[in-house]
Amino acid sequence: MLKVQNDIVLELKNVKTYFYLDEGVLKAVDGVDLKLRKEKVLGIVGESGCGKSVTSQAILRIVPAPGKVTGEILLHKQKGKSNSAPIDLVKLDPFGQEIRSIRGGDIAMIFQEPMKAFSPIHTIGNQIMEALLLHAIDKPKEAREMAIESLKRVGISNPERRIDDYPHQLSGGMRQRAMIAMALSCNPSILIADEPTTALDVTVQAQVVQLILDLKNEFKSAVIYITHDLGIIAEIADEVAVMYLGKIVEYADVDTLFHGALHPYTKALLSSIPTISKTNVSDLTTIKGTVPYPMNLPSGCGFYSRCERVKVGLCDVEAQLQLNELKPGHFVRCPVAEKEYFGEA
Amino acid sequence: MEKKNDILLEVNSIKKYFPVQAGFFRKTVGYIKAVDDVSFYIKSGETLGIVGESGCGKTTLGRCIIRAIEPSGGEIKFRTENGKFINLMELDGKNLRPIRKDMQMIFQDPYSSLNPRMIVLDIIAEPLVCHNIAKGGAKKEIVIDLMKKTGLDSRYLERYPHAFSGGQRQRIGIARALATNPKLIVCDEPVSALDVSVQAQILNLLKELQSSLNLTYLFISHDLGVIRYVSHRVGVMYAGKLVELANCDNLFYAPKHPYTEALLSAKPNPNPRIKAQKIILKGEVVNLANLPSGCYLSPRCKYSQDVCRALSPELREIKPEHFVACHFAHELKLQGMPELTSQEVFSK
Repeated sequence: MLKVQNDIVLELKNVKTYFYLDEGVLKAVDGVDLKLRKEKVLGIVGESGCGKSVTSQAILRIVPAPGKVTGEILLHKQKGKSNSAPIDLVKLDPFGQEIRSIRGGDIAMIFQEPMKAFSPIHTIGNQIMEALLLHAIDKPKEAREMAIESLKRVGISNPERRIDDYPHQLSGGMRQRAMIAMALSCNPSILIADEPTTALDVTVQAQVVQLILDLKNEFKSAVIYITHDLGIIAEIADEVAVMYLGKIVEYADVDTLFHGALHPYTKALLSSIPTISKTNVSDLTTIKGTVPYPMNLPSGCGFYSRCERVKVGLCDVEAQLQLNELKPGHFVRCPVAEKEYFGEA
Repeated sequence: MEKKNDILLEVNSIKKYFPVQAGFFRKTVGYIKAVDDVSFYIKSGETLGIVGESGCGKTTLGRCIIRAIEPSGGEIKFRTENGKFINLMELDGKNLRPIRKDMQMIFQDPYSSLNPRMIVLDIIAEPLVCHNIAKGGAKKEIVIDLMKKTGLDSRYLERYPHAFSGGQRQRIGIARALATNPKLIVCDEPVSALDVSVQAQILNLLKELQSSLNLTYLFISHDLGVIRYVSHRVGVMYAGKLVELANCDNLFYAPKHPYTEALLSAKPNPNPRIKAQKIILKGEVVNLANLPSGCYLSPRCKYSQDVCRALSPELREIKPEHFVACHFAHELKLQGMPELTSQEVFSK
């Protein structure tokens, strides 16, 4: 029991991020529970607007202005005293000293668009050194050497020269590598990758995904990998959470999710991607309608209007829609699937 | 010669070179060869998929064919209604106009391809007005019919594009492309800005329309999965050149070009039980302004030999209907997609 406790590095309990706007309350993240284990990759997958990016922003407390984070985000610090009590990131001041030492130090993030995430007026070397000087090292000279070392590790050729380049001088793949070098320079225990390969071409994407996996093994860090691409999830993740309208609808290990999905949304999502290995290419199922706007939603299941298996009296009752563990490690938020699962078993 | 009869479009060594200008007098110092000597044909009612990474010239190719940008050279032969082949390159603007009716385009970005200040009725009807096809009540009837065909509610006739979601906007774009009853539609990444669940709706709509209206598509995409789903034959482009052209099954299960092999292997497969050996290409897509000598893939290709760096390979037919531009197309044993039974793909 104690062992199970120990390998959890980050725990989200009922995390909510609401944006209080003039038009009403936008529930971007609406009660998310997640556990991130040491040296594992947790994939978060969903369509645009499902709250996957806001979840990652909530962890680092960088949710933009009218957004408010509630719930508990427990960080089990790996550095220093390992037996110390977990820190609740929600209780920290988002502009305070403590969260600033955690950002980059314990939890690092890779963003989708490296061109926007890097400052265009500083060299990449300066930006990597900034992180190092804030968290790890005092002497700029040492920091520069370490920055060169980290660029070398992510496979940038000629790092001694590249370190003085500005972001616009690098290609897209190179920039993303430099971003990874910056994120990993302080040896964080958790790496959050928010769609890191979406802006890249497939052949470069394959290189970057492989790099993240290699570095994860080398640094023994845990990774939260956020993407809309189920293909990448299948390759990289150990556990997967499928999000829809701010809620986790299914949460399981990767094999169970791809070969034994129970939630209608996950099933529909899996069968609506055109893949190159499908032999029968004529049956691409579709989900009717589009993702509703996450404001002033009616009560009940968010997938209600698009689901083909809706049962009145079950799906529109809020109390029925809990994320329940149907079998060890497989959580599903769907009363219909639950009834069926236990009916068959 | 029966085969010739059902060819709708034939493109012979089409080229598009963009001049690179420098200095005070904007002197031309070189050329970017965006599309370099590409030839293919499309039969009536079929879909030719063009796949490649960003910057490989696939969009430029699509635009050259409908002469939205002027090609630098080559021939574009299109079969007109009376069955005659016409070389579009020889026509001037006035003579090209009636043929434009038969070729339409669907764009990638459903947000920027619709004028925000026009209502749906006017957007869809614009080709009808341009080509003097219909006016007034007749025009409105045609538009309502097009909206029905593309799965839009005709009550939205008077709305502006901002009131629609991405998928619905793409349907408006498709309705507009269908307005003139075209034979050929160039689809330039029509689903890459959409979410997967909506993407499937649009792909199915395009396939339905193809069979009901006997449309011919040139379908441009970077997503191999999408290409596999819609295409009959597929062309793979790299650095402005066509490197492989074959029918779908041959290309996916028995690729003959190392670049095709790498693309197939790099595509993430949504099945965690397939742990195939990844073939990862070194480096990045070549810079078109600074091309390597010989085969453009040679600096990244693991099979490359001296001859690859010296000589540029021609696109040649190695089997009937299977064209490859590689010196070692016959010798190399390349890995295609693993063949799976449907139970293995998704055991439900």
